[in-house]
Amino acid sequence: MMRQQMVRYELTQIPWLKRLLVSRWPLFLARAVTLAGFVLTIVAGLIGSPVGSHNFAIVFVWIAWWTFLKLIALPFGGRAWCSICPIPMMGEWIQQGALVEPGGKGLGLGRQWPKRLRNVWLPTLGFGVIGLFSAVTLTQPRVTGWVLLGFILLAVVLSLVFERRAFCRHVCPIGGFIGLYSRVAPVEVRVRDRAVCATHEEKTCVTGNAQGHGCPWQAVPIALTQNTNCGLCMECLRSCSRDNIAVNVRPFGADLAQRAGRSLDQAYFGFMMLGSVVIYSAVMLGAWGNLKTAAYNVGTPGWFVYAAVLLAFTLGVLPGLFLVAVWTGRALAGSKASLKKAFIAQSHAIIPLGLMAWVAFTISFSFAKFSYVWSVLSDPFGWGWNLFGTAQLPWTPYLSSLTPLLQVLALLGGLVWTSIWVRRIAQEELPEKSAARQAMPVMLFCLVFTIGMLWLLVG
Amino acid sequence: MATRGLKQEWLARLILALLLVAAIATPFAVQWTQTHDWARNANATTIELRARMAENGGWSSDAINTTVGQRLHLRLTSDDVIHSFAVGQTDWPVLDIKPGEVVTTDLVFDRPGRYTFFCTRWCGPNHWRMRGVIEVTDPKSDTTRLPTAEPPLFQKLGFDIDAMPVLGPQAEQSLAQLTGLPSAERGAALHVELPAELRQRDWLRTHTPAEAFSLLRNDSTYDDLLNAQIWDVVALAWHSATTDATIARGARLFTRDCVACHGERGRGDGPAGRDLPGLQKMVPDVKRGPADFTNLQRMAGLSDAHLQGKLLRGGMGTGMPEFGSLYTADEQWAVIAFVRGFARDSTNK
Repeated sequence: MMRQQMVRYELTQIPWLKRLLVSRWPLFLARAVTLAGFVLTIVAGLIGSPVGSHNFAIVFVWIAWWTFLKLIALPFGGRAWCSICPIPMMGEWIQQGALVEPGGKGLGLGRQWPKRLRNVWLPTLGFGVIGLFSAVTLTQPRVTGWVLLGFILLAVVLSLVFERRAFCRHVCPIGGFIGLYSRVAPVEVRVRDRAVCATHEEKTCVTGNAQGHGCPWQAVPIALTQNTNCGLCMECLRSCSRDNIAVNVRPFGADLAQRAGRSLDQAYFGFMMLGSVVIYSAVMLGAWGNLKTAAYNVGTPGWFVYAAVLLAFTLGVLPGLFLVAVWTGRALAGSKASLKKAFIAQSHAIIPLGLMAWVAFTISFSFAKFSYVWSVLSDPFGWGWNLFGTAQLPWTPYLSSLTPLLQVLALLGGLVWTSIWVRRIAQEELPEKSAARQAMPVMLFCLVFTIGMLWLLVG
Repeated sequence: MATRGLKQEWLARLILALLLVAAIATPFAVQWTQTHDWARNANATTIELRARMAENGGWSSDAINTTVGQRLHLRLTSDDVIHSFAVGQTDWPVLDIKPGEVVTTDLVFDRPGRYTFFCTRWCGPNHWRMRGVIEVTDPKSDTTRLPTAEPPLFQKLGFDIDAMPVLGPQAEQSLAQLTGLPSAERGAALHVELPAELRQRDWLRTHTPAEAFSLLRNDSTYDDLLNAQIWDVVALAWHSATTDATIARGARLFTRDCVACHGERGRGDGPAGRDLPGLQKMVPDVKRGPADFTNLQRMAGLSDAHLQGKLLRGGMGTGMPEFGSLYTADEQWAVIAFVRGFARDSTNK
């Protein structure tokens, strides 16, 4: 029953900032640099040292970039990374026939993405597959190099066959991850006045014009109610002839109030993320040698058991327990609402908990291992270089005494944040007291999950 | 696109091309300059040697050719765990090779020969397989033959080092009555004069402690000594034939090369030796695994020359690698002197 209009501050009201966002050059330069870095990463992965801690590919992708993404870019910028991600760039430039200026003669069949796959089931599957091979991918530079090369080639091929950024929106597992959690980020692109859009017949934000391409993410700005499918590329800001697009700062978690976009595939992606962070924490930070061995030795019987447990836990046990919690809450509240609908709605409330669990997981190794960045900067291939005189800097864990505290704060913060939304979402359909009863078992589920993560990460 | 747009487009393409070329070409360019550092590596042969656990391939190259006087510039790195690089029968310091790091060393050989390089870190179950050969030839000499080393003592004497130790009934019986290990300190406290044989290093190297025991027992000078005291005197004889410095050197080598199989206390219980057959294949009655140097019945029947033979050649089929190509003669005797101490009371404990 609750409707709440959250406050926003429009960043595009600041003239210099708007000019910066509209200009193609800052974004192009950032993209060009990340693409060059990406190519360097692939080269380092494929021909550099096989020792992960001395290879740019492992240290920059799985420590530096991952830390930046999880602790800064995603919580504060949503899909900001997607706007400069190098993976779809080459495909997009081929498709558009230009690097900066619209109007080029592009290549590609321009087919529509199949309707059946217009969801996040493929990214869910992709993230599951990444999880199965994570122990190898995250430690072996060659594997990281091949995976990144595979991603970029797949993105190019899909750009040549399908229209716009089909790879980003429907295939990329990291894109799915970012899309899911970008809903809580405090930045958004939205239309200023829907009435203006309604009377704008050309819809240049969708079709494109001389100033900007039609939305590469195939979003329709007037219909944008959440960040999931907005890549923050600013094309609509450039192409809107009515100057009706705004970039806003808003409260954290604003999209969670939006009912539109809640779907079973998104819910399951959330459970894949929730389960994956548990499994990753157990494998990478736990003290169970057999589990590490099983995860690392791909193709062995132990690995098959690990794979079965990972998939069963993320796609079966966790959603199953959550379903039981929702069913119990529904029974306690005497709600007549559809169980499926309640399950989907409540599963979106645990997005903050999932994000904070990933933040806590990332904190556990990012500070401890960040000092590898300095030595790898001087010797990115592990070939004995010392370009900046930092190659011999010893490994030094940072903030080791603060790490457990930050992790506890992140997890408890995530629990409180999620509990608030569990209650609010329950109140969408139920009176306050019934909503509280509906929310209680789901909160218990979140509490048990939080305790489990605290045990895994802090001990 | 308008003319201005076209210009911007081409500028963007140029920037992108430069960045991509830099990303791809820079690593190769820097590496090329590193390996072709003409000033530093003038007249040197640069060789990159990668160390991997034997199970993963061992040294990236197990044969290096060079000539006398030629500077060999080695760039060493490890692809997995900590290894090290040592050259057998030389005094060159052992270099640790940490995973992903590069250490360099320059070697110049002043004599032709086959030099074994090897890892001294227990890097895996097949660590001892991490060996390679540096073949040094002399271009000024017509002959390609390498100098032949003097045959070791056990070969000169024609010892069968695969034969089981023989104690003789007198020594065997007396050993069965011993309640502890012989002690050189107790032997010294007896203040007896050692016979001439037991003061000669060559005699001690070519005879067994059991033979020394029989010599003393059958000498009426020592009639008033108990069997246990005779064994103490034998212990004193072997102990007196070496020095503390030699024992310390032997200890360092034993710790580096032998402990993993033979154990810290020489009992043959090191973790790397658990799956080794030892002599059991040849002699089923013998306990499986590496030799137990605290076993007096066994050690009393082996001469130093016999032990040297085992060390030089390795134990055929037992899992014991050869150290003949690694140790100098002094190092061999130092290890043997140290190992002898395991079958004596107090020493090496």
